[in-house]
Amino acid sequence: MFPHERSLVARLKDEPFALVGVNSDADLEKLQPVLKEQKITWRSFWNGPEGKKGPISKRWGIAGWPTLYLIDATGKIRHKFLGSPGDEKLDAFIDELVQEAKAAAKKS
Amino acid sequence: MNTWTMAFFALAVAGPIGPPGPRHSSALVAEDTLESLESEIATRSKAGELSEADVLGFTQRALGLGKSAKDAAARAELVKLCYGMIPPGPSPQVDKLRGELWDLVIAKDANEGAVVAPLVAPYLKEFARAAELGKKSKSPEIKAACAFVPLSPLIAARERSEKDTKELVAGLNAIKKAYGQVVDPGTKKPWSQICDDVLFQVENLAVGNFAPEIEAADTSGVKFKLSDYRGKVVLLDFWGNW
Repeated sequence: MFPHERSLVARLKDEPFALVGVNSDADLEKLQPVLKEQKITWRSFWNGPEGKKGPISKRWGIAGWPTLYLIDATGKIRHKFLGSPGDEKLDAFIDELVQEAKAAAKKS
Repeated sequence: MNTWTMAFFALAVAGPIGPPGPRHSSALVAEDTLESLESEIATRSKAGELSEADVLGFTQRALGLGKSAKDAAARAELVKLCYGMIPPGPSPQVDKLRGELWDLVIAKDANEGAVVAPLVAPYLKEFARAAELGKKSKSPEIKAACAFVPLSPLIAARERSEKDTKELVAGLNAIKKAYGQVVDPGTKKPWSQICDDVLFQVENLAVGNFAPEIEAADTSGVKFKLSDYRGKVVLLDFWGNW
């Protein structure tokens, strides 16, 4: 996951796009070196000390990891994936929504 | 050997003196008791001799004992024993055993639901007679769990039609109304909460809905909100380093 996410963030850094994580590691201290080593620069909510059973994943009914929600610029859920659908497919879905957001921004 | 030890020996061989009356049904191996059956199973499984046929045989015997058991506690122990042994299905024999076990459970008093429901819950989904049994059962724990069974595929579905969504919401509300206060022994949560959690997901987390707000601290302890990113496409990634 991480390499593709890194390239995604780099490729779309000037576009209306953000990768936001919800991290479910129970031990926040052990996670810190991983964030550095893996160059995880994007921001993540922390799911709390209960790890996978934390409040955010519980509320969102997460049944497996990773789970991805693709949300458009208006805040609507447009796609939902249990497990990655594959890098190419995911890129295509994101690009479509980014174009949509840019077109809407031009109009207004 | 003096008289006392002889008397003790005789008693030990004869076993404890039980109440008079018919001993066992013909389906039973004579002198089966919960203890003898358990120790026989333990000995055989330690020796690694248990075949699937053996397991089915033992389950039949435990089931027979359960049918003749006089009190709920003894019956519950036997039902537990059976459920511990029944091999993961599906096979016609296993289905038949589960069915008999169910009939045994639902034919008896309501209190057994709390004991038996957590044992049977994992099998409910693959049990074709769940709806029928939910109707017959006297136990609210089992009734609630059975009512939930037909909803599980709708909950697990990646995408739901409008009709399915309506059906699911109606089903969840019905369980809430009828069994809201009943605690599910498996999750230890009342059904009102279980249903509310699913309802929230169905009503707010389906494709086409506005994403619910998340407000929490990031991995450095700084609070932020999902809605901070309004105006941008967001890939929300539930991840972990494991």
